[in-house]
Amino acid sequence: MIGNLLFRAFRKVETNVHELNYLFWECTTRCNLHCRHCGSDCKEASGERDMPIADFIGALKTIPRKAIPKNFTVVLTGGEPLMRRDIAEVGRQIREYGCHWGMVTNGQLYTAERQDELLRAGMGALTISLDGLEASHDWMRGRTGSYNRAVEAIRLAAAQPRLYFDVVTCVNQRNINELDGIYNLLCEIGVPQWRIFTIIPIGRAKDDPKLHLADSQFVDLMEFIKQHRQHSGRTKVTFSCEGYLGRYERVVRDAPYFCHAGVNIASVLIDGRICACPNIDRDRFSQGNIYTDNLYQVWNERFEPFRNRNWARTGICKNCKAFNLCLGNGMHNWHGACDEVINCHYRKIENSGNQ
Amino acid sequence: MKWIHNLLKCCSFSAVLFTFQACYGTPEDMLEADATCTIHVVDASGKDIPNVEVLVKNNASGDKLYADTTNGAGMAFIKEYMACSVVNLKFELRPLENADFQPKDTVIMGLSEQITITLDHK
Repeated sequence: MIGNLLFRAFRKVETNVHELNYLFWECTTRCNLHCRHCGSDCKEASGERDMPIADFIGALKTIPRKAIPKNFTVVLTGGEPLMRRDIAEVGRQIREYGCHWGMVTNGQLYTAERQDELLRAGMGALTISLDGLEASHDWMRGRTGSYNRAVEAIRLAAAQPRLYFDVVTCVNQRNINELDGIYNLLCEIGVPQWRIFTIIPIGRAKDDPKLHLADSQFVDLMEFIKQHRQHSGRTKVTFSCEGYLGRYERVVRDAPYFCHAGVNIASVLIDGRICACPNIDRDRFSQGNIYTDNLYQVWNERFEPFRNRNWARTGICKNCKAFNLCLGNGMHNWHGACDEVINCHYRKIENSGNQ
Repeated sequence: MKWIHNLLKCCSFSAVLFTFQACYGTPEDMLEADATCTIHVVDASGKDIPNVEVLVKNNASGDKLYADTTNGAGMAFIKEYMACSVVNLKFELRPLENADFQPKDTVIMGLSEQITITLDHK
């Protein structure tokens, strides 16, 4: 009880201060895989042109150097960032401006030479996706052989002491029985952290039942993480920040649930729109555009729906007893008319517990 | 409000709260090292020499870590990448157009913000 009160006080302070310290850049929507769960519906040949480096760096530089906290991190995402040949140049310019940078990749183009180039450009954080053992990963990612290339990339990154590195897995009907196998593989490689997600029903994943867990499976997943966090294995297992987890809060991850989108996190999307995490409904929640607005000014003067989430007291959230801790779950769970949250982790757990 | 925020940041209680990963983002890069190191290749009078190929190697393994050509205004490279895995570095310098300078090998123990290497005339 006291812990919850203290946490809510902390969250209020953090929201009021709203220090920007994490900035996504959706640098391309081109991708060399065709993933079943892609929320952005990315393709090899995208209709959107890659944003020029100068446009993004210009937006970044609207943030005064003195306003950049010491661990301010720019995260390159896509699409697949390594489809661009100029990522190292981007990284150098980000680092020269005093920011850290990292990248989320599917690992297909992540070779030893590329890693060396990126490290020399100051890359300090990396996330690689692995969505199952070989057959499941290849099925999910839409390309035979993608598993082997992803594992090779994971081996390269895990051997590099400079990187803050983790592997992420989207758990679904197909791979939920492979979690022990994935865990053993990551321990053998020496991956420091494994972060587990479930799949949001948006984009290509919206109407694919194989991708979504039943309530009881979701609780099984929580139990898996709980048990493996008690191991002394080389790989730390954690659940993502995607939603409020009721009785599993502080059990399956280090910190209590707190959606930092728009509180500490912003993004520059492929068309210049300014939003928070890229999987948030950009048509509804974009706050401006770098081609017409000053990024830092937008950060300071807008983002109200992210910092005051009383609007989310609707639908099943309206009278929910957990609302004060949950605030309507992650912002990415609100799409379209926003009259109902599309995914409630708390309810999944409660439903399963009542069965 | 900002002072409360800073106070909380200083408390070990809250360290875990301030370290987060956005949905499908990377971990935060927590390294606190300085960003860059600058090499100046100069002549005896202290003037920068352009067009010198600089090769940085791991002195223990001999692996090439970095290669670039000076432009007369110092040459920056990312310090922490070198610092993470090597104790000392070997610099090999080979003048390109400035043929009146001697090639030079030198070993640097640790990394400073500014590394100045003097080339000698032939």
